[in-house]
Amino acid sequence: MTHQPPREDDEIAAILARLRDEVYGRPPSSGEVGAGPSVAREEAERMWPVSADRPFLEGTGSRGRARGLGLRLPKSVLRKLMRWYVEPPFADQRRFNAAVLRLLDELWAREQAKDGTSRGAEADRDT
Amino acid sequence: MKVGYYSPLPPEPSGIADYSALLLPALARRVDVSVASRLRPGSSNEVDVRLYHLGNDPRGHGWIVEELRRQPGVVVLHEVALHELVAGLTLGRGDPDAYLDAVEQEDGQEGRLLAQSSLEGLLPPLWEVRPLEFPLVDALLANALGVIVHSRFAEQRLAERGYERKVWRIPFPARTPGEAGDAGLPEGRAPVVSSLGGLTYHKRIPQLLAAFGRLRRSFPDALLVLAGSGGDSLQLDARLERLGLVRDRDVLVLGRVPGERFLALMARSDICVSLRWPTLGETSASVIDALALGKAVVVSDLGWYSELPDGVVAKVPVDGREGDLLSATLELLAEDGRVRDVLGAAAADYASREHDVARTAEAYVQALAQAAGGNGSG
Repeated sequence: MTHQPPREDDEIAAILARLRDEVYGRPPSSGEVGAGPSVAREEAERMWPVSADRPFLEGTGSRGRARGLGLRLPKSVLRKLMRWYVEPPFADQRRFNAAVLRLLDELWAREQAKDGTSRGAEADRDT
Repeated sequence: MKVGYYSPLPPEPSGIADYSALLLPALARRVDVSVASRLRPGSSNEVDVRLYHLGNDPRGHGWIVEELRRQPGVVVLHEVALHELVAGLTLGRGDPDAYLDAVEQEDGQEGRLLAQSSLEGLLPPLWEVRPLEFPLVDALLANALGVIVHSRFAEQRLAERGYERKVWRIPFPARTPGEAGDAGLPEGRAPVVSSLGGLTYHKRIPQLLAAFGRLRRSFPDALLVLAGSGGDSLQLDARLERLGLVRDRDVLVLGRVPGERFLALMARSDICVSLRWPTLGETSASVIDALALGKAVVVSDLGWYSELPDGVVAKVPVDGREGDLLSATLELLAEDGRVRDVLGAAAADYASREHDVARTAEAYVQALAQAAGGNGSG
């Protein structure tokens, strides 16, 4: 039987698989949470940067589009006029939200590390 | 065979319009095509079979849904979950009861209660976080003679929904890469990492920003290019500030760019990233473009993206280690040009084999002929 050298893309697939194994074999870095995308965490990640600068929405159909376009200019002017008043508390809120998320992630990472340590200790006792 | 063709078309800002712009000339060389439009939907009255393209943009597809309800035809399901389309056609027209009825009709009382809770702000919208559990396709497909999908994933999802009529799986066509124009990026920046084709939360831009922030510690000349519509809702400035990244220095945020610049940006990129969660069962046109251009591509390991061979793209599962693996993958691709080159060459080879537009058009003709009950000859 002749030995076939590995094709280059097979070799790259093996490198990527090794990289994945390596990453999964080491403890998670801060900010890595849970076993899958938690809906609550995903929503928190989406919503934390609160701001008055939201996209302009319009309804479907020609009437909705016309209404949306008609309201765009007055909405835009009103937002600019009110920005000095609403933006500072929003900035504080963003900082607070980001800090809470960081704290949650750090707590989670600490719990994960503790779990890993206690599982390791149990395995040592069993052997 | 005469085919009535219902789809958004350029210059509408829609991926499905671009898809049709690519497919239509190849299809028209094989069969007689009568293209219907929003303003003249009835222009396809004398045809053998109708072909309806459905996606989630209610502005682009509302009129096509109405035509499909009037006259049966073959449906091209570009996304296997159409919850957002149904929401747009009901909630977007100020009719929450119609929306709740639609959810209840397909997913029972439990679905209705969840949808009601999301309308009251107690839960995130179902189309954002659980689209495949509540795809809302059954009623839309009631008048379909059969369905064309682009992936095994979509085919399986339809089978799981109990769809019993014919399903054809036809590969998504790739654009033929031409001479790349000027991308308009600053000189001397490397590696250039890009995520092109829609700046939405579903494309996991926050996760990409975090991974890029880590990459920049080892590669201070790295540049991240984000292009596409929808960036307003991401509050990018606040996110960049949190990560210590500076707009226009570290991250270029472009809006929707014309097709030529889009391809030029992609051609100039060293690494193209296209993440996704949740998937709507779509096939990504920007990933196919990047493959055809022979780029090193990083995708999320789910849905259609998982079907791409392992030596052709780098896949990152959407799990608790997504950020770590994404950072490590970007580092590997940034520092090892050979890995990038081999991955890119495998990508170009794969795209030319699997995503040839002529092959796609032939498959459409066969499917349409079968649906029309003929032999497919023009």
